[in-house]
Amino acid sequence: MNRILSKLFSFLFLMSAAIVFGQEEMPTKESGHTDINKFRQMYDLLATPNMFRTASGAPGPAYYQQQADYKMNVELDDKNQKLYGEETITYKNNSPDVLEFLWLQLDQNVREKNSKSLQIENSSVPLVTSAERFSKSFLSEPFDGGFNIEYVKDLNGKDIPYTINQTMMRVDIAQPLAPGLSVSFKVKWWYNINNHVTDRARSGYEHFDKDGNNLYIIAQFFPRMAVYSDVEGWQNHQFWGSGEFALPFGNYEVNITVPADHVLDGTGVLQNRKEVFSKKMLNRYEQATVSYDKPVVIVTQDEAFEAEKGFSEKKKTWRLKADNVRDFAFATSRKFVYDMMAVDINGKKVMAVSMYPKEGNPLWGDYSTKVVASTLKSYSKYTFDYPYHKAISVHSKNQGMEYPMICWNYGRPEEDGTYSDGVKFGMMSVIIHEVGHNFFPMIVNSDERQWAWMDEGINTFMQYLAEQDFGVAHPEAIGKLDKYPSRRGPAANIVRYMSGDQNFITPIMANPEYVTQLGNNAYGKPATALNILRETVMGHELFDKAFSTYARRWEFKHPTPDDFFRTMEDASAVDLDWFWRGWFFSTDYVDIALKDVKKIYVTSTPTKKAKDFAAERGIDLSQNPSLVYTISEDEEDFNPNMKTQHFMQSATTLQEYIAINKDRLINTDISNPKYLYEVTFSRPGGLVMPLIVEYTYADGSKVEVRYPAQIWAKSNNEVTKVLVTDKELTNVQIDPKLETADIDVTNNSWPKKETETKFDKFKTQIKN
Amino acid sequence: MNYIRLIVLILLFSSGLYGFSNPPHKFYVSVMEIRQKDNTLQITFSIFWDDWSRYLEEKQQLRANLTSKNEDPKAEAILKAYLKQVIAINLDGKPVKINYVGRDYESDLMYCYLEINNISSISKIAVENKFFFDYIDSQQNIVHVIRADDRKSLLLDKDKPKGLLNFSTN
Repeated sequence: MNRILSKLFSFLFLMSAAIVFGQEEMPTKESGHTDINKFRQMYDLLATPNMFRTASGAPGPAYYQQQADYKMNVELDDKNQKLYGEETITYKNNSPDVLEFLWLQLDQNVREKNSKSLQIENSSVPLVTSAERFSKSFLSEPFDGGFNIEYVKDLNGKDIPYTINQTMMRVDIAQPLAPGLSVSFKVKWWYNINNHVTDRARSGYEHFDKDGNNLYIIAQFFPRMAVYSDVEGWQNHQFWGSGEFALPFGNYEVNITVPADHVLDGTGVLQNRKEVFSKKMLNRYEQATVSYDKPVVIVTQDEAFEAEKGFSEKKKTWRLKADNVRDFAFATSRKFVYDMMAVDINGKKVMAVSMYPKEGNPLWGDYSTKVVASTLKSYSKYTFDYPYHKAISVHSKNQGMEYPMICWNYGRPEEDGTYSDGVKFGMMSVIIHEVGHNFFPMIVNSDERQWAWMDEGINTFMQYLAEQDFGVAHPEAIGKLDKYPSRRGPAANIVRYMSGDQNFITPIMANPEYVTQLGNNAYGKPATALNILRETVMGHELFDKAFSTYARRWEFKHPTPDDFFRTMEDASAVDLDWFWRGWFFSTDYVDIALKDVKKIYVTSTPTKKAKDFAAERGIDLSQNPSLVYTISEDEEDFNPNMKTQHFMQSATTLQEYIAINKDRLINTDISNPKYLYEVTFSRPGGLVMPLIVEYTYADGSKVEVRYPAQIWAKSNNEVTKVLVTDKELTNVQIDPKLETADIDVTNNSWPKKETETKFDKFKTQIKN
Repeated sequence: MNYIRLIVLILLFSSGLYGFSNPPHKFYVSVMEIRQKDNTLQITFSIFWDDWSRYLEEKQQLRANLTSKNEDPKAEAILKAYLKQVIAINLDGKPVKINYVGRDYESDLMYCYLEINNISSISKIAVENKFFFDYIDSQQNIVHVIRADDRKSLLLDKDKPKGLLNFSTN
């Protein structure tokens, strides 16, 4: 709009605002309030920056982290499903504090016979249940799966006193551990391995009745050092079952003895491949290391089928060594089919590996390793190059769980080998998710015990990007679909959760043990929030740079939520405090509504509203003959004849002005303004979001305008925009591509559209 | 939320035993949306279909190939009967007949469509939904009732499989 014309309009609208104000009565005096603006900065929520963690979200000059190195000998008793182990832990105190004692985590104690975690579970008598389940629940001796600690000793063999409190063990070292010093000690333990299928657990064994064999996925199997940090001191919050793990980095040397006919793989570089692989396996392995396009089978299904028939009394020890990992896990069975392929990560070779029983085929042989390879490439692109030498995907019946370099994933075909799309995509998605966990939290090592969303949410967001990449890279795998069917990520998919009853929703920034709907809270909502940030608030370029900055800054370190929030702003210059506050610290939802669209006309005749306004203030309008007045169709003194006219036709004063100043009034956007509209938006929802509006004109053309979220900074609940156009407006639609997770789209359009419910759609569909 | 209720919620979601680990969904919840449209009540009930598939396998010994083209038709017959057994609705104190319309799948959910015909305005609606209470101890069934711009919800579980909502008549 030309400046003069625009000034004139500004004046008119100021006046119209004044009219509205003038009609309101002065409210009775209210008490004051603190700053409640949605855009206030987060000084009240974030920790004060210090020498450990900077205000920009990076590790500070005094940042430290502890180191825990492990040397372990472990032996599996396959006949009795027991695991025996002995470890030497060397713990280095890099903190500036003197440590009087050490805390170790005994996660298996969650399965102790008298576990307090069991006691907090709700127990009630089921209405209907199977005889087996009933007997197991109420009539049999409870399974005892807790750790049996045989000793804690120093390197001279002297006992070190220790105290076990549920899932935590305090080791009372003889001398306080001064800054910069290390202490070494030994722990010996054993435990009964649980059946993870019947007990629904993160690790354990599955028993296959048909061939009598077990498939072991073993984790949380050794007493592990707790984290000591500048934010928590010792993170010794008990393991109740939902809040996962907080673990320091370290180097591991682990020797695992299993029956000689088992195939085993786990965290770390295999040190004695020639001892444990057969010649055939070694040859195939050599081929796999140069096969970049498809997996090479190291142990075939036929070989695994043969192995299943036996039970070797001999033993074999697999030696694994891993540097800079935060945990260790392994899988072992004589049932494993085993395949691998090489992946090129920016010039570095990484092996993508899968292990699965014949029950997983043909699905697993066809896809698992390819999905692993694609996932490593996608995540490396958005964060940092995958630093480890391999990533393994292990088949387990109904389990999805992550550890460094190795994870368990579900997805089992029918007995005849057929499977539905649901099973196939479920399997691919869980592999992408769990392999992706190598990045968050295995390497960007956040505290899962306190913040589930920092690994689950961020990882589920990355999973969405990686799924979409996989669909593009492997069109044959997604069949007829035009893109990979991601469950979480798109804004519209979170609406069902965010529109739910507030009693069942918890802010993202909450502890996983008490949040309601953990899946939506810690996975779905934060993933969607990040996707919205990338697509709608920041744009790909700014987001991707900031996100990879966060990942690189905290690679092999321990970030907090504040470090993430701060880094995303630091690297982008996008103020996101409003976004974090709304999406992460509250349970508010998005609902932006189209309140009104008014067609406005300009006239030289004073309108009733203008006259009232002037009269109240003792202004004589006839003294100002050059004024023009605006009127909308719904005002009582609106002359219907104006509808057929140009919007300025009744404004002779304005026309004269335009005629005189013609040369100065040049608007390059709208050479011939014909219509004037006032569009009012309101915000019934608590979240502020960018206002995305699609204007459709009579000739069918559409214009999308994206007003930044800050449009809500000054006028908190309602904003009005003026539109001068040369075409008649026929339709206004808020958020036409459903990118803001607006929970009520029935108020998003003008004229109002009757929205079809899912039920209506289904009924229409079955009628046809 | 009162204190007892809060405790129940915490217990339900802390899933050290059942629940588990880290699959994309580690909680057992269904959502039923009951919406009044003119003189019918449209009911859209959604549940994770992989849980339903396990139920069929473990409780009904049926590997049904859900979501695939050759899904066993017995699966829908069982669903229909099961819904009839576990869902009951009373309007203003009187039980009403619930008609099964159909079901479809979207992403990881199975949507079941039910309807109640010839109703007048709702003032009191009692909803019982025991779906999976005989199968999953930590199952929660959320119910939303939407009447014009009014929206009210219930959280049902094994201890409280039934709830009553009052809509003001004005």
